[in-house]
Amino acid sequence: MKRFQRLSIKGKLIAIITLASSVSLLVTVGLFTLYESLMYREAVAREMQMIAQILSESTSAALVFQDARAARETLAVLRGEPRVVGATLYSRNGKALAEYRRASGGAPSQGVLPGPAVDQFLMGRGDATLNHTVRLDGEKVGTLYLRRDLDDMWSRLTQYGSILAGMLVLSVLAALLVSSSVQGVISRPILHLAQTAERVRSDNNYSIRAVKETEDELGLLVDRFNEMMERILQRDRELQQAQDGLELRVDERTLELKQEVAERRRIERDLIAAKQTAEESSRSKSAFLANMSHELRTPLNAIIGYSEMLAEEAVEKGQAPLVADLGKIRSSGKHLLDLINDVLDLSKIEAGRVEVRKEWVSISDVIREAVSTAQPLARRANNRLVVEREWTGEQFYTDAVKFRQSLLNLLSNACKFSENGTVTLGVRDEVEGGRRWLLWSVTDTGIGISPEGIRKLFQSFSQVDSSATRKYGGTGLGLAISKRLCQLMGGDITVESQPGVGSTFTIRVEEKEITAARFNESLVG
Amino acid sequence: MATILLVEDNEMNRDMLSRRLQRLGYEVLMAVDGLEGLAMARQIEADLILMDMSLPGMDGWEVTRQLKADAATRSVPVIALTAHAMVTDRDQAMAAGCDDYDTKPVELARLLVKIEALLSRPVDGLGPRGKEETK
Repeated sequence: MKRFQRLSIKGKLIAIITLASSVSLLVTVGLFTLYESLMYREAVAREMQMIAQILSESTSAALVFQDARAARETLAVLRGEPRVVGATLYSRNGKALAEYRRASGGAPSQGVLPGPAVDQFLMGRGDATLNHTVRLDGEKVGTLYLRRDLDDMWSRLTQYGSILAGMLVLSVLAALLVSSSVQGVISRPILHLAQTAERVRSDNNYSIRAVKETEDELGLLVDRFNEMMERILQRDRELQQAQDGLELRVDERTLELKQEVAERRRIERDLIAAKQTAEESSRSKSAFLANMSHELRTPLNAIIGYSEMLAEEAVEKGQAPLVADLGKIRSSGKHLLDLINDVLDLSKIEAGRVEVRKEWVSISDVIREAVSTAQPLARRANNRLVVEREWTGEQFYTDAVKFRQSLLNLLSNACKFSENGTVTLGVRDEVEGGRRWLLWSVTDTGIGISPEGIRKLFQSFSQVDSSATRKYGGTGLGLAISKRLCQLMGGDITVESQPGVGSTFTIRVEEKEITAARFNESLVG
Repeated sequence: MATILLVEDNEMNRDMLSRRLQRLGYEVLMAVDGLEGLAMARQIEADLILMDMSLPGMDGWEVTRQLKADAATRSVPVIALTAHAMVTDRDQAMAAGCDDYDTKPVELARLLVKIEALLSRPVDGLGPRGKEETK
């Protein structure tokens, strides 16, 4: 069966047709043979009955008289019947009265004998036997046993067989011939379809169509196949269109993105340019301020210097009334100079051109210097200057110049804004955030500052009340500068104040732990 | 009376300071730029030099360095006059070898104290003059 399934359509068709015709032939021959053998059997039976009938008539008398010889002679006529192998005549009591045997190879009589007086015909493979009751006037007188071979039948059947085989061979050949020429009707369209499908596959070309040859199911199959191809082609086209659309959209989006990126780049460039411009302008502003400060200072120096010189000469020459006016020129010049210097400081700080250079500074020295500088200022407004030193350390690590500038600024402010009061310089330490801080506080008993004022206090040009500038002098930049300097040193300036009671300004700077490096330094120094 | 060499490029400052010092009895010689100042310092025997630091051409720092590098002029005290001593000017002046410094505009009383202090210092000829004393 497997081999059959492996056959091509063509082979299958040939095999089927050949098989079908062979089977039909075999069935026909088989039926014919069966009929033949049945007819033969009947003919054999009739023939044997007839012989038996004739023999029984001629032997009945001999049986009655038990005349064996006569019986034998009668049986001897069977020589004329070459197919009869043998015959036995039994008397009524069952004894064999006479017997006949064919001369050539006859088989001995069989012992099927003589049964109840029943006529019986039996046909076996090699022979046929007949028991025939012999009657005389209707009365049983004995039994005749006849036996006959079937050689004639077998030779005929053999003949039939060889004829049949020949016919079979002929008919198979004919079937092969016919089927192989006819199968194309069915197999050709199928093969064509298969080849078309294969071409479609190998060329990947869905526009190839199968040719319809018949109007049967195969034709329908070809039609459906073509329809299917058409649909695939259509779907491909649609897919292609969708893909084209997609590509178009991708292209569009890519273009948009490129434009966006370009736009961003442009903005970025603009921003960088703007930043550079801003930095440049900031730098040039600082440079401008520095230059301007220098340019402004030179004539101011002359104004201040000459007014001082004139005042000295006026005193010498006894022209006292001029001294006061010259003093006003001088002090205005000094104030202008302070302003310019502060503006320069601030612009330097804001331009990042101030370096911090820390060193170990003696606390006692700083206090002594601060007191000696602030003392005249304190006395001017009748203030008492008090030092409260709680911290007993010897040195701290700071930028001496900047620290002094900041501390003096606080002290001079305190002296300026208090009258008949006390200015206290306090030094103590505090641990916060795992570090030790040195707190330098300057407390006055002056006019104090409102909370709103404190907010504006450290901004440039912001004495709380601009009238204060006129009353107390100063530039309004000192605190802003001092705070910036302290921040540069890693510290800060904070303030607490109550209007009418006084203010406390505190500088916080880090007091570095004494390290091995410092020990060495102090040993060398 | 002591002779002071004033190196100052600004005419009015030069005029004003020299007149005030002369009135107080000092002999004042003047140079208008660094090169002239250097030449004069080597030529005359000044008792003290007042040196403006921002001079055209060779500036005050360089002149001071050269004077202090020269054995002949090393012992002459130099007071640096800086336009504005904010942060680093003082350190810079000391590093250049100046014996003292002051800021402009000159406060005469303050400057006189410094001048007198340097003039009254004994000249012992040992090492660069005044380095230890100013510490």
